[in-house]
Amino acid sequence: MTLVTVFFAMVVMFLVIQNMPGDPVETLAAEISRTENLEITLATQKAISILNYDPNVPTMERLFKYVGGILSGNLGDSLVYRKPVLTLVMGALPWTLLVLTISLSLSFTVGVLMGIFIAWKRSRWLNSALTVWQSIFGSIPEYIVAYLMVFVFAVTLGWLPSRAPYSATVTPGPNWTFISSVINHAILPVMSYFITTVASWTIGMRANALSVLGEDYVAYAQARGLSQKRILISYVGRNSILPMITSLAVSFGFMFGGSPLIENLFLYPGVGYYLNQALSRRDYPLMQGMYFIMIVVVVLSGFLAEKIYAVLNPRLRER
Amino acid sequence: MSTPILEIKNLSVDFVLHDRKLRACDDVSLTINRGEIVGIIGESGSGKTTLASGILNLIRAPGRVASGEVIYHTRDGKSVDLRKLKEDEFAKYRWTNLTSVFQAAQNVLNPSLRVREHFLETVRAHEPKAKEADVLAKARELLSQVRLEERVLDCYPHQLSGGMKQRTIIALSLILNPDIIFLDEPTTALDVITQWYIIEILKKIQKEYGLTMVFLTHDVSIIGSVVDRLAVMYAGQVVEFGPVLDLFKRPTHPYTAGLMNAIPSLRDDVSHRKAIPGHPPDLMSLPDACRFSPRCSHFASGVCAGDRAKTDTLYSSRPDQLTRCYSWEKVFKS
Amino acid sequence: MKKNRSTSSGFRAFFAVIWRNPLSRIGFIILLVFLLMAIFGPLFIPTLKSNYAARLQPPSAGHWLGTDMAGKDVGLQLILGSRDVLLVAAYAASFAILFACVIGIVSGLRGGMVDEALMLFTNVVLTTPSFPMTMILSMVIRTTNPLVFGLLLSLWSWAGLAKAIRSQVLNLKHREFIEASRIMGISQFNIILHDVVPNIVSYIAVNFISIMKNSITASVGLMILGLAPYQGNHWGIMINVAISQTGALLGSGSMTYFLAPVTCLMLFQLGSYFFATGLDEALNPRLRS
Repeated sequence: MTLVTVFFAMVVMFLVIQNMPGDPVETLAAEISRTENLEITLATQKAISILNYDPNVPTMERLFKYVGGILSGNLGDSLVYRKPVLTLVMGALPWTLLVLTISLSLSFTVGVLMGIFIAWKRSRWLNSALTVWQSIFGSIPEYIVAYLMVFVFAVTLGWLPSRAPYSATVTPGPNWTFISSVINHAILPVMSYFITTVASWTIGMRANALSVLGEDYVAYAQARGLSQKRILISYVGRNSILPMITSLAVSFGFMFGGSPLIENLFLYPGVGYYLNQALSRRDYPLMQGMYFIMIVVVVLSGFLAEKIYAVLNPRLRER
Repeated sequence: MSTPILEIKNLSVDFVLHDRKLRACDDVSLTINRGEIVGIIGESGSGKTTLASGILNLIRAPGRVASGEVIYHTRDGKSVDLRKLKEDEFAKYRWTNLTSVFQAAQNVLNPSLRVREHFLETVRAHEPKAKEADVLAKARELLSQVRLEERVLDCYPHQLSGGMKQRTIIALSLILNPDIIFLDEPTTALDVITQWYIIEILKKIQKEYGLTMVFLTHDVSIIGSVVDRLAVMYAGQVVEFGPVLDLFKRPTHPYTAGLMNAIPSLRDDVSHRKAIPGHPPDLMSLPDACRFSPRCSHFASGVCAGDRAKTDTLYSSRPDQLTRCYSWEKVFKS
Repeated sequence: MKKNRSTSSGFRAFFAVIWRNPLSRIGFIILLVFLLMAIFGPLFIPTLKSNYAARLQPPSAGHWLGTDMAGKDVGLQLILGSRDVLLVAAYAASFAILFACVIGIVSGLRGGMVDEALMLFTNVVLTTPSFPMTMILSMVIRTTNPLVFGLLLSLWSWAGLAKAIRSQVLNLKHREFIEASRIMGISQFNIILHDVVPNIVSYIAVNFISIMKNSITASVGLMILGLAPYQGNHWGIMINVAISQTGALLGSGSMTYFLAPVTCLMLFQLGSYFFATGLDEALNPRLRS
């Protein structure tokens, strides 16, 4: 099922991109002919070989070639960066995954803990505060939050950097300065995602926890004299968290979808950033490659979430 | 040999709803002796579950225990009023002395934990240093008492049938060698064969461990074979209390008589059975008369005036038998 | 027992519920203000003329929210822009709902192979991240007028709603009144129109606002990335220009030029969220206390 989805999505994307206005071969040929002083037909041939793209070949054949390329690990070459798309993709993916996984983990963990806490305490104040937070930060798009945060923390207060994955003065490598620089630069992007998503996790968990608290097995646990801590963790926690697991994948996909905007603002060289660059500069192979990896990762995360759920749910574990 | 284990004195439990008070348990007094099986029977809304919850300190808002004492006499001769204890003091008696078995239909087991973990966590909540091997050994022994296989320990609740879950809960209630067990409808929602099976097991355990049992149910037909003494509750009050056979054959309260009359038997014709007409009163708006009077044929025929004040106490109708009907001598002529 | 009159007196009861909940009341008012602003505002504002001498001025008596880089009043631009914002969002939501209904209803009613094929398609659309796809599609579809822009935004937003509609339809399919209609030989089309649609209207109404809200987010996002060369006034364009061409984020005096449309956007989204919650409560009797 997942494979079908990936394949189908890729086909759709391929067809859309192939039908975009503007012919990259022509553009490149023109440029080559101009800069290298080649005759136009020769320039066109050279362009075709560089781009690995021949406009005269029918679309279906191109599609097959592309799929074949994927299976052998060749995603073509970027028109703009003159590098194999695969290299760019593999270079960009870790950055996006870094920010997204940290954001999601943080948001989920805090949300889950807060949700249980608020359900347990039944405090009117907390519930209202939660509603207010969700109303405000749940409606504002995360990129707006990001802009505002950059303005406050980077520009006005100067506490945090506003761009790049790490400081230019630092050499990458397994050393502490590099790692701390990466963390420093990741704070604002992560916070943008965190602020806008944490409330919905809290609300979801609160709802689950409230319904679990009303269950008979919680009352029976209290009748047996089990400690509050035990009940909160093994009774409320374990039983409320299960339905949230499947939402993780959905949320991940959603956050991935927003990455072009966040990464664009922070000049963060992730998948979204390159996708945006590719689009504005008509770099078709790069576009295809970045979008392809996006689809693969999102679909895989859904698959992973399903597997995790199957393992955690006692009803599905024993067959 | 009949020393009291639990003395309930004038226990009242209220529920406050929208500024109106509902007294679910009204001035209930009962004495339960060590080693006996006492049944409490009543329709839904009679107050029997509230009574058990009140004794076990399980009443939650909007309910509260308004007044009364519950004196518990321990094995070593101490006496303590459970009502005067704070929750953490009460917790010491929970499960080690007083346990409860809930209805099978309720899902009382944690769906994410195996049965074995339920035993372990229960023991560890009271004896944190208990060794796993010891606990499981005892658990296995108890499970065999309720005729369950060892493998049940490794099962998740959803893998057990209703009857198996009920037996598991019974075993779980015994894990800390309690004195007294409250069973709330332990056989309802099970098929008749399983019901009989469970009751046999309960009787066996009771004899074997010398337990005191309080058996709450609305099913009159099974209670006769199980209990020693029976308390009948109606509209939050105890209306009759005495040895079960006496209540069956020579009831001294019209409600009890009505209940006994309604039980079908294999021996006679169902058409001889009569249901009690009417329905229980609305506890929020009680009439200023005997609570049973609207449904009492003796009130309807004028034999009894249904004076409310006279129904505020219990009368001794026979040796060991108490009734709330002040006209019992007139009504029950034998 | 008191008879529940809310279900019978339509509009009045509906507004009563919306008004009673403080949050949804606020949301309703906010949206109403914007709606009025969008409909009537542009009628009273003359075409703004550029005045480069007065560009990028902070708020003052003459221009309450300052001026933009062409010297036009920011406040007036906001009002003008509100019409486009609402128009595009409304189109997007309408198209999305149309697609979702068609696919959801056909899939639900037909069942079998048609259902499976449509659901496969829907699932693919649902799984692939919608914003990046919309980004890519924006290169293919030229978004010069609100209708086309709305269509573009709707292309990848209908999937979730389609699935939900399908399950509602499946639910209804086996209810007696539909069986009865079918037995009476009423055509499929009529069944859809008269039996199915009225039952999902409330569901659609709530989702209309949500989809509008999401479309606005997506459209502003596209504009910020420079992928939607929309001609008219739109808050998104204002934000985009403010950031890219005036360095608003770097702390210059044109902060209002950036903050004003952002605030409008935030207010509108907030209003939509509140109102949608209230709408849900009003149309879904189960949620009413």
